[in-house]
Amino acid sequence: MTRAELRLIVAGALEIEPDGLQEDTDLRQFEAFDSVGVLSLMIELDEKAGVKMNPEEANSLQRYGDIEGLARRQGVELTD
Amino acid sequence: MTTTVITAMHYCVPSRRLTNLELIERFGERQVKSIVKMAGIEERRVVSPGETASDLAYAAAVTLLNDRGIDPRTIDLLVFASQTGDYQLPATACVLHGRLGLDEHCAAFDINLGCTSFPYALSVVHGMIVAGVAKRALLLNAEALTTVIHPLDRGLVPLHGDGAVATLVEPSDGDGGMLGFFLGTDGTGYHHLMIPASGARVPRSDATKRDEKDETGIVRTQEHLHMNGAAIFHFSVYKVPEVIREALTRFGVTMADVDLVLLHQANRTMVQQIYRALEVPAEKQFLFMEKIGNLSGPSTPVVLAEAWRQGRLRPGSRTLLAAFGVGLSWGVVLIEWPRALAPAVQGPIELPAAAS
Repeated sequence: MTRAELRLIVAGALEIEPDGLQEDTDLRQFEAFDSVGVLSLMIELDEKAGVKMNPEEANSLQRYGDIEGLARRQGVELTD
Repeated sequence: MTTTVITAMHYCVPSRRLTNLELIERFGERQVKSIVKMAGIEERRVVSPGETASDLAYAAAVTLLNDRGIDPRTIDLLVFASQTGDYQLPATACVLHGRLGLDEHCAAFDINLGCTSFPYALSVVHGMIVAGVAKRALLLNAEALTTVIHPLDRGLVPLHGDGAVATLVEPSDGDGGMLGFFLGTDGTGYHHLMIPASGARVPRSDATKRDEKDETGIVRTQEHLHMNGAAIFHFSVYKVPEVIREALTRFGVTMADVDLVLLHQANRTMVQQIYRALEVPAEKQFLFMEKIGNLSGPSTPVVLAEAWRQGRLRPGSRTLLAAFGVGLSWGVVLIEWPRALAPAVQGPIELPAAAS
């Protein structure tokens, strides 16, 4: 999976433009990053990238880079 | 007699509707749109001041008894399953026993469970009839959950509604019945869905009445329902399919032997995720939450009663019903419908003004 594809999934769940997502982007700045937004992320990441988030991981998400790190830890190879 | 059978069901919801338009005014359009997209709920029925879960249960029970022409004095077991009863004591079942004019030889007690109250309470009623303790049981699953949700909790208000279901359970004459129950609990997750100040552990005080706003903007007090959405979601979409697979194995059947699979109507996305994980074909699925919301305990018996009303329970067919949630707990029941299946109880399902 490319990093652009992962960005697109996250951007879709948070209803934002994918260009707005860099490793150090603070997700908490986005209006859609609330309890429902986190659930949307859990669903979209599982369905489209095979990345499963446990509740602790979901509730401690802060930066976009956290999601890339989670994907890598679950064996998803992210290419540029 | 080795099993029992459901011979009638009827449900009741409050007449007051809480629409998405009202929610947009309260929470804003973006918030409501995103939750509606996920939950698939367009409208909820919510109790008005003065109406209680037991009022809804009473109305459902009276309609059921009238429809079947049953003398209330022939009921010898009344179970009220709810987390929003009328009083801490006495049991609300006792109050309803009096209102319904039941016989003094009728046992009456409450079961305190939320989302899983139907399979759990049904197993209790079934067990008592099989044991010879009772012959004709009236099971009432009722909840007025909106009374314990903070009106500014933008995560929970859009999801939930109120309602009650009456279920008549009797001995089976060999034509259909309960084929199996599979119940379980993970008590380490009790704190993921709870009202912190609601009993002896955290007594109510001025401090527990104070509004608090969390980092996601959700407003509530310690006396209102708290939900860790991520934890409940994770439990529902990953644990519940495992539980259902295990239940099928215990029952000695496969999904091919089941005609209809009904799930706790928590929210549409969650239900669809579970159906997908279990590869349940579309013709075996049934959803009913768009116009009433998630009712907690009454959710699964409502979807069952509605499937009956809509002709989805065929004589001789098998229904697998699974509920999951607060506790955390889960319950699965497999039901075979009699070949002589009675028509569903019809008629109004709204709480009549006179009943409250």
